[in-house]
Amino acid sequence: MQTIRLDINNHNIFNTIMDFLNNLPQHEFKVKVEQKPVMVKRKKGKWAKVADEMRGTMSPSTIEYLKECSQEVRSGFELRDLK
Amino acid sequence: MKKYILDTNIASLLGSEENDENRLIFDKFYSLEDDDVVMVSVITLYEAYYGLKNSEDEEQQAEIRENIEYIQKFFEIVPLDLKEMELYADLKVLYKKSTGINKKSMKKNDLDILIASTAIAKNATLISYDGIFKKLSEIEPKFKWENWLI
Repeated sequence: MQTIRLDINNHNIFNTIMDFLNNLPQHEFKVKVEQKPVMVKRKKGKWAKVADEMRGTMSPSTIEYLKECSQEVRSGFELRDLK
Repeated sequence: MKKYILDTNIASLLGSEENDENRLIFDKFYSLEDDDVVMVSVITLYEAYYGLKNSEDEEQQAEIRENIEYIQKFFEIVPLDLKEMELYADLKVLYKKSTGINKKSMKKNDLDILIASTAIAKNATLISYDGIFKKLSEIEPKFKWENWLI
């Protein structure tokens, strides 16, 4: 197996590559794509300040709990036809 | 100027400590321009309030309450709108036909499709790591979606 590492941080390019590879005949060769996060230069704009303020305000268990609540709401919601 | 709608899973992760798994979300936020618009669907607030009222842990309640305050303070809250009715119906029919999904399974996707309709109506990109949005973006070119975790 040959691993090709792409130093890209653009999910659109990543998704395009994944879609391309997924459409190739899989039985002819095995492909594994690894994406390593690359460090990007961080600006200090308006949204950076928002990220700074929100970061670390919730514990992992609370985030997991909110995820479960969201799934519960979404799976329990139904638009019904009027009879 | 770009417009984004954060799904609940991304809005929650913004409250996490930064690590290798979620670093890209923070990188994305740092790369946004000041005039970019970041929105959150009112459905996300419904879900967060449900989490708040459903929790019996005071510390957890405080964290969720703070997260709700941040969402309302920093992001534009997008209500459901009459404009999205037809978009929702078109998208749901398209999804149903393209996947052949049964009625029972389909109902689990109603809110996701509503949020996707909102993104189309607002000409915004939905940010989520939920797999259904990838499928929706493949069958409806007007729907723009990005996963900021990869």
